[in-house]
Amino acid sequence: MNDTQKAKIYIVDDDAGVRDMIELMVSSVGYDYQSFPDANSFLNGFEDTHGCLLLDIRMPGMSGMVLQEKLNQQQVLLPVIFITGHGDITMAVEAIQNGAFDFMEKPFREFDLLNKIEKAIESDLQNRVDLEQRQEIDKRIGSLTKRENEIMFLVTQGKANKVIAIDLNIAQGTVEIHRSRIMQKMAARSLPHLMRMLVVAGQL
Amino acid sequence: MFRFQWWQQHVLARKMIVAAVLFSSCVTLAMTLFQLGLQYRHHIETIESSSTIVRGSIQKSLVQSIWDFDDATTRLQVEGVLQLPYVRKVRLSLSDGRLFEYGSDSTIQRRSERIPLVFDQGNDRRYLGELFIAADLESVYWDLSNYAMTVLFSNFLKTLLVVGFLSYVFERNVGRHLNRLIEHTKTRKLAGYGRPLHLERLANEQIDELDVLVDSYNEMQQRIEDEHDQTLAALETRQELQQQLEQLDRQVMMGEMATSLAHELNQPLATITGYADIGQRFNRQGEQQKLAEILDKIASEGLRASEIIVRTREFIKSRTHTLERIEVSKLVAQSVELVSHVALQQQIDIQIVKMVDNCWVNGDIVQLQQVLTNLLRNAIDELKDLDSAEIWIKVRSEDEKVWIDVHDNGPGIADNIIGKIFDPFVSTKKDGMGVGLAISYNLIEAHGGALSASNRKAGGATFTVLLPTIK
Repeated sequence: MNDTQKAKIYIVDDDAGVRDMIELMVSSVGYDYQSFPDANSFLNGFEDTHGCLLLDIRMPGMSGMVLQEKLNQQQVLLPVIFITGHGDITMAVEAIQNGAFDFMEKPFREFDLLNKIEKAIESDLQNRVDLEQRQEIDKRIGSLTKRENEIMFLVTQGKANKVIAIDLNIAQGTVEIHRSRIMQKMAARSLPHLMRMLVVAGQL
Repeated sequence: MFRFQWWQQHVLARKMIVAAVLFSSCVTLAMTLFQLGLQYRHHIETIESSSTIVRGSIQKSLVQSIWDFDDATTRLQVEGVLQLPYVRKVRLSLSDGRLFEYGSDSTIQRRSERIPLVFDQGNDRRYLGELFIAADLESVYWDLSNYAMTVLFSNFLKTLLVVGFLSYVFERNVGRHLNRLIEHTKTRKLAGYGRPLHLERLANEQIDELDVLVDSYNEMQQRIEDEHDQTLAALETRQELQQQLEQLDRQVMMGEMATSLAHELNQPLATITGYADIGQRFNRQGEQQKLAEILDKIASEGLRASEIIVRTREFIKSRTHTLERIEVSKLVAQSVELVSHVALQQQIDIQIVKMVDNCWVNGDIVQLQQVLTNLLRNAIDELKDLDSAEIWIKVRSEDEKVWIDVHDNGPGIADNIIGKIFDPFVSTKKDGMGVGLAISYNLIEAHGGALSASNRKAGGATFTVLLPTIK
């Protein structure tokens, strides 16, 4: 993923008027958008790319809550902003507990919605970058040999090459070669950089 | 005629009399036959004893007198034989040709005997003649039949008397009470609960079957009444529950409709709000063309909201109307009848003081009754704890309109409420929902009429239902 990719706003609402209004709202400030009149068509037509989902909580057929559950099952990253009517607060709270990003109560002000969309997109971007980084670091760790992997963790424990050589009963020169290959494969500029990467990957 | 009627009506007595007569006759007949048999035997024995007497005593002396040629004695003796019971003919024919004959010979039923007269003295035996005696059985039969007749007649008389007396006793002790019981059972009704059954009988210390019957009958009646009361009470409770359920149903329906209406209206409202904000932005950016488009959208969303409201109203109207011709006096009377038991409980008098005849309205009878009973129930609730509480209804008609006024002499409507008494969820009652009058108002409006409320100067409230009339 690159940072230049434009965020896409998905709108799922059974009411054509509301859909039309939100489309105008997001398009006039420059977002890409795609709208669906019901949950099923969204499930068949969406892509889990950078953006967010504006989801009506009350819809005929599959409700917003059920759709959220399905998205959770599919481990979709798209942040969900629920659009609720009056008296749907308990449902909104439940949605938040199920991992929704936020909710808007109809009628809402443009400023609030755009604000929430912006935050959601930021959060989504962060999530996707994090995920990408993690995936990259995982890939690099996967490219290490078993011995390199072993030595990398001894290194991150702050052990000197000499100590490692004694521990593993190998020559100090061998440790040094391994170490330089590790730094190369992990594309680490320095030991702190390597350690940060391992933290991001959840290895430390 | 009257007797015959009595005979026809009193089947039980008739059966008893017939049975008594039949049985008594059979017994009498059997007894009489038995006695006749005995009598007959007795008579025959008497006749036989006569011949024994003749053979035993008269024979010898007769032989002697014949031997002596004592004709006078002979005659006397023969005549004496005639005096024996049932002997009707005596003939003495002597061997010398003389003949002494007495008695008549006409009888057919007879028992005769020939006694030879032989003189016997030592070795000298001589045949003197023959004595012929005939006993008359007819007189025996005559006697017997006389006897039978007497017995039968006396028994007939006795039976008649006994049966007559028995029927009198039966009629007096059982029959009339049975008739009273029949009459009582026939006229007995559950409504109003008649008096218990009482038979007019002489004071009797001994309790007999009739007393037991009366007691058990009255107990049965009491049980039936009790059960009837229970059934009525259960029915009433069920009706009340049914009404409450319907009321609840209406409230739930109203609630659901309100929720659905709120949800539907929220969509165009949200859209309008959103468009207004976008419009603001376009305005700031000087995008006049886009702003105009937005304003158009706002207008159409406003119309959409209005359409939702119109649709909802039409829905309410459509689902509640079944029109028919209704006579106003009937409508009022039925509505009063529907609340009469509540009014009775509270000892409140509901009177229809003025009524217009032959006045018709077009409407849903159930709904109009619902409105009137609602007004009456409200009045009853207001008057609940008052002395001399009164509700009166006046109906007047003019210019194709009819006004139904429901007056009461209660505390009237509070000033702070009178303006909004037909609004939903406004109630003066402690546990009131405040929907009754609101629904009533809508129902009357849906009938093209009007419902209004006012306080009377003399105190109390008046609710007026105005409806258009039809011909």
